[in-house]
Amino acid sequence: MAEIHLPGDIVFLSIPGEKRTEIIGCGLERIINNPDQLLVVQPGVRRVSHGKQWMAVHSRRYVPQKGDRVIGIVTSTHGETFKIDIGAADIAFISFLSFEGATRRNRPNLKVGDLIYASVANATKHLEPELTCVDSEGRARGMGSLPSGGFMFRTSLNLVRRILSPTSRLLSLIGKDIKFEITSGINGRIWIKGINVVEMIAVYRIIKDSEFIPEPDIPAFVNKQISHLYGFPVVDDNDNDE
Amino acid sequence: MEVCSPEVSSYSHQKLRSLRAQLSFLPRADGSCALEQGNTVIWCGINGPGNVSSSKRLSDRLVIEVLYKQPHGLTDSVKINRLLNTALKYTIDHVHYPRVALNVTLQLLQKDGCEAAAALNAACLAALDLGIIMNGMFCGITIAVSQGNLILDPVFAQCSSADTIYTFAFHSNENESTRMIACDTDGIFDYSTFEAARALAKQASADVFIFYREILQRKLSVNIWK
Repeated sequence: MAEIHLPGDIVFLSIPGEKRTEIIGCGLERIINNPDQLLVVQPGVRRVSHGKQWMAVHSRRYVPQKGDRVIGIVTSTHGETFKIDIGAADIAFISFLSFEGATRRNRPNLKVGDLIYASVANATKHLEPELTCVDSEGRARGMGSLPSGGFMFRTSLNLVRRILSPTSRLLSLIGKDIKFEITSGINGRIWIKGINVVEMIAVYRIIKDSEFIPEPDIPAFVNKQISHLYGFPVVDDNDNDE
Repeated sequence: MEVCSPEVSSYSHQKLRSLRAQLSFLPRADGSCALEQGNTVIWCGINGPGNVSSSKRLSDRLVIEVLYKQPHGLTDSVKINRLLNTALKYTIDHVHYPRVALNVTLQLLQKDGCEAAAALNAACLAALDLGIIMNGMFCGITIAVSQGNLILDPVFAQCSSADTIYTFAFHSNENESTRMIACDTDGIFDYSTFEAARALAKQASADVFIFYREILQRKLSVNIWK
């Protein structure tokens, strides 16, 4: 069982057997007058990796950070900008020139209610966040308007980070049996699209219910859900709660 | 006339009533907690940091709005609102979130004494569930004085017949010792009684913080990474 830390706890900057800490991530803050200690400001499990320390915080409210990939909903258009709801405290905005190949004569076709997958270009706590759908070379690389016919749902930020983690096997295990597309936004929104509605609902339910299942139990969990989908008999373990 | 102040050591055997909590049970709230303290049941939901109208917006810090509801009417909610506001303002890093608001909503479901203390505990657990940046934790303890005896965590019958009722809010941070950040009193009391009650409540607050750690341990230690 991993050891958790709560706000107000003090942890040490240097850890025996680990590289010297050079980057302090979210959930930890430096203490005045105590340069070799860190104050925990968010509850979670402390992670240490390659000279970085941070807290793995479980949260549902998204705070924009520069460089995040998010899924947003177009709420309105204001002249040269679109107002995008990314689930944060402020409405984000994106210029119509921030799409691939967009010029003043060639405008992107966005309507109110459309979904876009964008990157946060600028985010501070004092200003509304700014989004962009191109990278530094002007290429979209998967960003832009999401196609119609999909299904978007909201989850906790922890689940999205888990899905995007390279060690997670959830999506590859689902992909063995169901063909689907998925886009995960760091702001806790996931967009999926499948061949038919039944499979889309199955994928949604698998992702949603996997939030508090430990990683070693994921293969058995996915197998069970797939069996449910195809009507195969499932051996009811006493350990599983429905 | 010699006034005997109550001895704290005589009541060290007193314990808090049983505490039970469930986190993340409201799907639409960003942080939520259902707390059961003895027979007192209270729900807390926190949304935010979220949008706020320009008339209420503060450019340099977070706006905290507390709404406390009782099952019957609105009596006595102003006092508890102030206690909660003070404890939350002291604990949450409000400089980190300018121009946004935090909405804290508490609903008392069952009343059996110590409503203010239970509200403080539920609000702190909901804030921990939310994951907002805090500099520590806080909790609430209620002490009743009846015929010179200190009663820790009194039930409704004891609250009704008590001469004085104290409600303390304590803040815990490993960098400094536990300290009182807010308090509310009902009745007439001697100052030595107040100090004895505060010392007893400070002892009991350690149990509440241990309870917080147990609840969060159960929630946060699920191994979802490898």
